[in-house]
Amino acid sequence: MSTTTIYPAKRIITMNPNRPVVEAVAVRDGRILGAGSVKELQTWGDFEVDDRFIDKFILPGFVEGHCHVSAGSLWRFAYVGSHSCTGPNGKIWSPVKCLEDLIVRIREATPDKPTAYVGWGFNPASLTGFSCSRQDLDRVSLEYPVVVLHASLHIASVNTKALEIAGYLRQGIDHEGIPLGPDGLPMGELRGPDAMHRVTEFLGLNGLMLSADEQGIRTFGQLCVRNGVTTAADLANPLDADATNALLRIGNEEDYPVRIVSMLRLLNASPEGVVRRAVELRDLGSDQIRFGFIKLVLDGSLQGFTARLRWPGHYNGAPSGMWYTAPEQITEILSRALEAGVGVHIHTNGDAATELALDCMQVALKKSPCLGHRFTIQHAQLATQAQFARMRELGLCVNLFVNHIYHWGEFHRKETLGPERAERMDACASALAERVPLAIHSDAPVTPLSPLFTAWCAVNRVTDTGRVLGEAQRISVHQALSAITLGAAYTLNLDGECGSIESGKRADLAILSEDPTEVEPMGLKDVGVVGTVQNGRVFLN
Amino acid sequence: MAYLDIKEKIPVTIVGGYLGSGKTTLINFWIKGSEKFKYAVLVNDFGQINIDEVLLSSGDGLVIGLSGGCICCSIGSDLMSALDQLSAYHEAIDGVVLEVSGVGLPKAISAAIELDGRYHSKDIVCVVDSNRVGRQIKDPYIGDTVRAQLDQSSSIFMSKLDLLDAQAREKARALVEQLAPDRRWLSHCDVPGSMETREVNQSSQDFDAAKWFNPVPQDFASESFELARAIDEDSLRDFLKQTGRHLLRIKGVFQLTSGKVVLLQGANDFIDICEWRGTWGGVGRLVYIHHRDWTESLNFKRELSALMEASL
Repeated sequence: MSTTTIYPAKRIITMNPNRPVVEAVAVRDGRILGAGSVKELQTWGDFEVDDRFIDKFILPGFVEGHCHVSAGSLWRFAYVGSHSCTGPNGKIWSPVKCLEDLIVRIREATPDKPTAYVGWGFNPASLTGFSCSRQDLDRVSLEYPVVVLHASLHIASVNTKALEIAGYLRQGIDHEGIPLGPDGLPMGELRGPDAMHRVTEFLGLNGLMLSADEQGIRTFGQLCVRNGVTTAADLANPLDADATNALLRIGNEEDYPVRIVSMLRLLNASPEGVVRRAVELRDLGSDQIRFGFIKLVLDGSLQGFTARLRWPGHYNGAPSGMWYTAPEQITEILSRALEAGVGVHIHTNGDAATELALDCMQVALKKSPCLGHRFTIQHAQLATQAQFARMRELGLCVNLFVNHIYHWGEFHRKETLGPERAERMDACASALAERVPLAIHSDAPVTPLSPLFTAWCAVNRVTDTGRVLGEAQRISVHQALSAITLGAAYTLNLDGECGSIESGKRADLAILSEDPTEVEPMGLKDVGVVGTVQNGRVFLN
Repeated sequence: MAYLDIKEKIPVTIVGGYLGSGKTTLINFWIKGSEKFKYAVLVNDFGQINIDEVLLSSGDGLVIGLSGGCICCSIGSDLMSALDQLSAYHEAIDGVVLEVSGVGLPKAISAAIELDGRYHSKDIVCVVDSNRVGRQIKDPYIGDTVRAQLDQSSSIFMSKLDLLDAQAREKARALVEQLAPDRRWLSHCDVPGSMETREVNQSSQDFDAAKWFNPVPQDFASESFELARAIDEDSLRDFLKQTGRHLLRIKGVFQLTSGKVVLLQGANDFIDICEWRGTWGGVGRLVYIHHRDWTESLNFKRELSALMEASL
């Protein structure tokens, strides 16, 4: 007979309204046998008590509803972000605040005999007066390329050697993404994937931006344990044979600690072909690696000024962004996916893009009526109350990118949106008021993977200068914790399987050193993660 | 990397225009109409590539699909990768035709092409659906996209004029003239190659499977057969009808059991067999390309071999 293990804890917050708080959880065959008192759980028959969590707090394992497995690939390089960050192996990376920090960090974090020096997570926007030229980076090395990827992953600062390798150390370059110095040569900043291509190709990074290699997938698993994540949605993977096989091979290993829902982002196929591929993939999935979802991208990003905004457009007068998919194609994919029963997650940032998603969904649903589709609008950063109401009418869920408030809130206030619209960005309270199923996310590696930090953003709405941006849109700690557990699970059709601690569900737990419902709301992001239990297996940091 | 004089660079013609305006039809027409000039075609459209490959199948062009590359960029590093891949063909091609996605804007693509020292962005053609442009520019979602596509063009091609009466044609022309004044107006005959000065490499009538599609782009795999014997046309047609839809392209020159030497060309479930007018050395060749992750590729190869044996 299978073993039953009872884990008593200091306090277990179940997210199950029938028994919100219990003292112990019993696990059998990778599932939760029961959540209650130790005494009650003992009545199931033979058991052993494992009291390693006796002084810990337990929540359902967190569900990261929008990130990228590629987040695991970047950690082989030096983290140079302006905020402190814990790496997958537990190393705490101090913030990089000035050029000296940057140079020292890249040198120290690079192994002895490098072929290149690489840093990532750089965010000059949050550091006043801090720029980084090729001459600055030449101080790291003249001999080898030095490449500093910015947090957006769309800009790189490079040294002279890297420009030489790219073939850009010449006069007469005329490209918006390559600013020139007074000497007529590039200053060292490469903006946009086309400008960065030769450098990222040289580093072998191009294939890793959307999917990940084996090492990256493993590191991603560690990163999840580190942050209490037991289920993660990998939001845009080309899922060609190599990427699919790598995910299955690593994900199905006995000790892989996270369930991954990997969504298909396929561009060189017809709408019919995309849906057909998603159906094929669905059957290839395993218990840990799930397929059968499509990612659809409607517009660009807010910080890149490529989002589609409705009137009055960008605060600083920049032209509106661009479309990535034509309305006719959106509607056709939605309609075919409704018929085939595969999920679609729709990327929109600007409010015009969200409106288009709603209009297309309305047409698609008329053509292909379907209840319970749970299609989800991802980011929807500028969605208005009226748009949330339409989401509810159309059966859509929303997953808001609340980490933006902290990382780019000040920038959006000053440049992109202006004060009023910046305050209603990522409007969690409006979504809940309109009863739209709500998740919140990090979009790692765009911002660091940490559901507790994401919950902290939704609860406090504080920018990196300490300003509260949109007090009216703050939600309660319980609502935020629900969004990173059951809420995100719902958007992935997994709420029957995980997201709360109750009899019958997967034994997916986040083990914490403090009670997130008892700490000061501003302390939520600092609650320590001890490890996870996933499918009944214990992973400790 | 060597920096080439503009005359040595491969000219790229960018073809933009809203979804459904007729970009593929125009490119196909160019390729059919330019036996002397060889193109590589880059297709950057969500949705159209399979159809494109059927339509474009009559030319000798190399078709590479751009997958978009980045989560939030319409052009990305995969355009640059495709340009890298294409560099292997510089001797064999006279130009590149790049089809932009139906909502894509050509200016940034043009800048990216210029950034690669080996190519020259020669022309930006906007294909305008003369029947719909009036409505498109007023559309709340795509109106500004269609205007920007016109604005960023250097040449205009009006498609579907045959659907309009004289008055409506004139109205559409005037509208486009107003939105994009002083552009070069193209007709079907203005094949980009006809304006080239580059020396042409013409070994076109000798079918060489090794040169055709080699190297094959990363996501694809190719197989090549020698056909020492004649093949039964009906059996081959039947076989390809059942399985040919998995092939991106198939091409071959071989002898039929009737004694005729033929050229076979196809893509997906479209197959064309016609008389071969080139040189015939007595041994047939057949080459095909499929997506690397096609799971039935081994079976297909086995059955095709069996078919060739059976045709004895």
